[in-house]
Formats: sequence, structure tokens, C-alpha cells
Amino acid sequence: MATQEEKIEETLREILSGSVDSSVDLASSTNFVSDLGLESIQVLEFVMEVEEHFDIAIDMESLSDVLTIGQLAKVVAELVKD
Amino acid sequence: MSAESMSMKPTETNRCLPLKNQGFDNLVEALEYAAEGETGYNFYNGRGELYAVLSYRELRDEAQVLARRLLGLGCERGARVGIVAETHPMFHRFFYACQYAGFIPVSLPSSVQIGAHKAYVEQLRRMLETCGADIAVSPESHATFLSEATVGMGLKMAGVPEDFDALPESDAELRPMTADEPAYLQYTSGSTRFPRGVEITQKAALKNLSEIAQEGLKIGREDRMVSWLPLYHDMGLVGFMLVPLASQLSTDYLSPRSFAMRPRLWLKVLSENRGTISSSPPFGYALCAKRLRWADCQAYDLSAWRVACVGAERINPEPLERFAEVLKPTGFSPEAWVACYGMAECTLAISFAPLGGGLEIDIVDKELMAERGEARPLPASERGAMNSLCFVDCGEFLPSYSYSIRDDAGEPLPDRRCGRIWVKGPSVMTGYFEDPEATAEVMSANGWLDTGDIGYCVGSRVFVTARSKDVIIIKGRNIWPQDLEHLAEHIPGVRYGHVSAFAAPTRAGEELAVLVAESREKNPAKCRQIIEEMKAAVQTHFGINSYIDLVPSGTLPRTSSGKLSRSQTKRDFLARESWDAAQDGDRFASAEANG
Repeated sequence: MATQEEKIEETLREILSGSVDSSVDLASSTNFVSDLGLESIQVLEFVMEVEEHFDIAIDMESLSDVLTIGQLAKVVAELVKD
Repeated sequence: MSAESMSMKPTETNRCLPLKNQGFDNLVEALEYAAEGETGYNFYNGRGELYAVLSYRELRDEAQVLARRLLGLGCERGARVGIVAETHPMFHRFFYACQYAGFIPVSLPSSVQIGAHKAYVEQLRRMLETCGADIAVSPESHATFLSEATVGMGLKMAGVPEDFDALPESDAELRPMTADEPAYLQYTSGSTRFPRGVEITQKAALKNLSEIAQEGLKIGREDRMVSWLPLYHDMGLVGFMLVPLASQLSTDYLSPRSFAMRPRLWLKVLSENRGTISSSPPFGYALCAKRLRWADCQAYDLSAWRVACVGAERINPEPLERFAEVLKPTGFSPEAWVACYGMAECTLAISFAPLGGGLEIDIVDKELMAERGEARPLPASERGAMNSLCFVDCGEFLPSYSYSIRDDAGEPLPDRRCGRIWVKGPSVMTGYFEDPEATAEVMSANGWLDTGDIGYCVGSRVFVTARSKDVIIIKGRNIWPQDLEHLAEHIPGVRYGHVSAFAAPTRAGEELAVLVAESREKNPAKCRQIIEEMKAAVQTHFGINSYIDLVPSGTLPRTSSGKLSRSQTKRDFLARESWDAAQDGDRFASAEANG
């Protein structure tokens, strides 16, 4: 399970690197808001790319509990499993 | 509502029912007339596929049944029903069930920021408390939020549509809301901490709907509306749910979230359904222009789009010009731009620029404007980037309004002098719901409304130079400085009453939220931590970037009564070298440049 999540996290980082400052280190604990300073529209754009990549739909409730890249990877892993 | 299927078709553009957009006594009468035709609402999902169709006829029938179920709950006439305003047919059903049952629908925000679970639940709860709701409903997608928000509130009922559909129908007679009764409550984009519900009567709403249709948009039977605007804002709720209904037009919806993810879907729907009327705040057009690929444009035909309204913020012509340029291959015409001015306190619309004329821009002397608030037009030979300011003509006031531009003492000002815009007329709100103090702050006893906006008139045309004095408008979101200040004051190391928030223009021409906070902290690492926490709090609660300026105690300017002066703080801040230096960095708003 852990490896699956790690792979997803790696993909999330790749997708993210396109839209954030390259000088920021993207780690599992990187916070979308306080570390990356993403605005709500940028978040939605990123979520869309993640959804398209994994062919999933992330609901608003799950997203409202996500703060870090690691947490998002967990949500994605759950959805991919189904 | 029809079941989802591949063969689902949107409702037709009106072909048979004679257009009628005046003479309705209440919203129910308007619905019942529209129900005689074939038009209605169509809902598109995040992939741009039609997933639900709700004709006005179905809406009438379903709303009547639902009204009887609601009446069985035993609420008094005029009871408030909070509806989480996701763009979904459930919103329309509950809104109209209230009209039939004699209840007041209250549209509640539906957008939730990343990681903002708790903040959103608190916002819902505060709004339900403020309006004294008896009933609350949300779509399935928001069920957890709503149930958390209503815990222990003692509502008659809170749940998802399915729960309400299981209620027995009461055999009580349906007594729709009458002309002088409320049509709805709408929370203004005002402070989230002290939300104010604008109360609009049936009569007021219908007057504005009819003026918008006849004077502003000159609606004809062949028109069709397309919208991604949120139904918890006036432009979405009134402009694209009530206006089409009271003119029997079909409307195609995308949710704001679908639009933000894939702006091109807006154009796809407009193109496929030959939409003729669609609106957005300027940032929506800018987002579209930024994210469109050239190939996308080749596929669309936007030649039917005759009215592209622009409103809700001060209008900056540049992104609109870019949009029109990118969309040239689609047949979009810059003449379709219609600048308009309005606010929830006036139902929706106050003025419209003339149709078919595109944007009219007034170029005035910058120095005179700054010094004396005088908008002197600059002759073409004297215009330059450094000495001129551009303002968009928002057109003539709708005929039912009286208006005046006044100075701070309430004295009327002549043409081309900037002051507060005051209006009076039949579409103005009754007041803020059960809040006489807040109402008295903006309305005089004889019915004049102080819009809080700043502008000048040239004849009967209005030019809006600044929206509500203190409000911070970023990417179409209105944010009250009080809310930012309140957030910041709760961060350890920052003192209560020692924060001032405002918007500052960046060199890129955008507005950035700035918080200047006094702190006794001297340790640089700790200061950095405070800044990080403040930025994170602002981001989580409002979904925006901010710039934090920590200053030593005693730095913030105060008025003679000891109150913080936001305007002086802003002037001081703009003059500081640190702000200038910060902007030299590429990502001045990011954490590292702000440390």
C-alpha cells in the first residue's frame, strides 16, 4: 500500500511542479496553502489535472480535509483502488 | 427532472410562447406563465455533458408537491429555508417550493476551499443562525457540512432533498408569497463574521427583472442564457435564474467549479446551444483568455452571443480586449460587451451601458482626480500612461431609479465630480433582515440607499471608480478587511486591534490583500513564523494570497478617537521601501520573498 501511495505522491509532485515555483521543495508534508501559496482557482486547476491523470473525481468533502501533498495522495489512492 | 441518458436534450429556445416580461404580481405568477411554454433550465456537468433538464412546467409541478411536504413541518408563514446554492436542480426546486409555501428561501454559499472544512461549516452555521432558519437543505455533496453546521441548532428539519421527498404531503392550501412579502434573502458578499441578509420583496424583484429584460438586455423570444455564476450571488441568482424565468427563456448552467477547472466549457455550451446572453466579472473573461488554446477557439461559434455583460468589480478594459482578441476566430464581437453596475441591495441591476456599442471609455486627468476627485476628460493629444486614468461607462440608470452623487457630508455634487453613489427606487431592498442598525447605516428614512461605491456622472450616465470603499476585491471575490483583521488578531504574537487590512495595487495591475500588523516580536525567526501563520490563515479562509507587513508597536496611524485609520495605513504602506523592494522579486506574494 505504501509503495502505491508513494508512486501517487511522486505523480502529484510532477503535476504540481508545472504550476509552482521550482525553488520550493515538494515533500509529503508540503502544505498547499501555507507552503505553496496556491489560490483557490489554482487549486481547482491542479485538482482537475490530478483527476484527469488518474481518471477519478475528487469530491469537495475529501478536498476540504486535505492540507498536504501526502494527504491528497491518500485520497487519490483510495479512489484509484475502487 | 428527466433521468440521465444519452438522448437527453436541453429545453428549446422559446419558439411558441408570447414573450411577457411585466405585469406579474409575484414570482409564482411568473413561473406559471413560463410553465405554459417549453423552455426551462439545463444543467451541464464538469465534462460539459448535460445531466439534468428542468423545464418550467416540471419545476412548477415539483415545487408544488415539495411545498406541501414542507408545509407539513408546521413552520409559520415567512419561515426561513436555508438552501446550499450548488448549481443543481435541487436549488431551483426548493427555491420555488418556498414561493408556493409562503416561506423565505435563503441561498447559502456552496464553495469550499481546500483544507477549509471547519471554516465552511462555521460560515454555514453563522448564516443559518443570523436568518433564524427553521429548515436547511443541501445537495448530497454537502450533506456532511450541513449536518455538522446544524448540530444542536434545533431546526425543524435539516437534510438532503431525498429526506424532504420522503415527507408526507400536507393537504393545506398553497398560498404563494404576495407582492409585498419577501421573495428571498440574499447574503451580500459582506463580512463573513457578521453576514447581512438582503431582504427583497416580490414587488421589488419583479420590477428589477422587468427593467433588466426590457431596458437593459432588450430580451426577445429568440434569446438564450448561459451561466456558470454562483447561485449564492446576485448575478447568478437574479440574473440567470429569475431573469430568464420572468422572460420565459431557456438557460444552460455550468457550476462555478466546472468553469474554474475548464473555462472552455463555458464557450462550448454557448457555442452548441447558440447562447445569446452571458455575464461574468472581469476575472472570468481573463481566466478564459489565459487558459484557452488556439485550437479550442477554432471549434466554437460564438456569433450568436450578443450580450456579454461585465460587472461586479471595477472594470479594467485590458483583459476584456485580450479575451475579444483570442476569441476573434469564434465570431465573438467586442460590440457584445455591456458594462453594467448593480448590487444585491438593489435586487441586481442599477445601470446598463447601451447594447451593441461595446465598451465606452472615459480618459481623465489623473492628477485632478487624485487631488480634487474631478474627472476632467483629457483631449487625445494630452493622453499618456502617466497622466491619465481610464473609467468604463456603465451606462444610464434604469428608469425607475432616482440617483445622486454626494460628498461625505451628503451634499450633491455636480457632473464629473467623484462622490458616493446614492440611489432610490422600487427595486431597492427592504433592508438587511432583522438588522435595523446595519440597515440604518446605508439607508436614509426616506428610502435613499448609500451604495458605498464611488463614482461620477456625466449626464445620466454613471462611471464607477471604486467599489464599496473598504472592500477588497480579488479575482471576483469580495473580502471585507474586518474579516482579515479578525483572523490575524487570533494568531499568537499579534495583538487585538493592531492589524489593518486593505488591497494594494501591484505593478502587474492586480490587487493584492495586504495586512499590516503590529508585533512586539523582535526575533527574526519568530517574526517569520508569525508571517507564515497569517498567510496560511488568510489562504485557508479566503483562498487568496496576501502580503504581510509586520511593524513595531505604535507604527499604525490612528484617528483622533483612537481608531485605526485604514486609508492612512495604506498610504504609509505604499510609500514604504520594503513594498517596492518586495515587488522587485518575481513572486513577491510568496512566502520566501515575504520572510
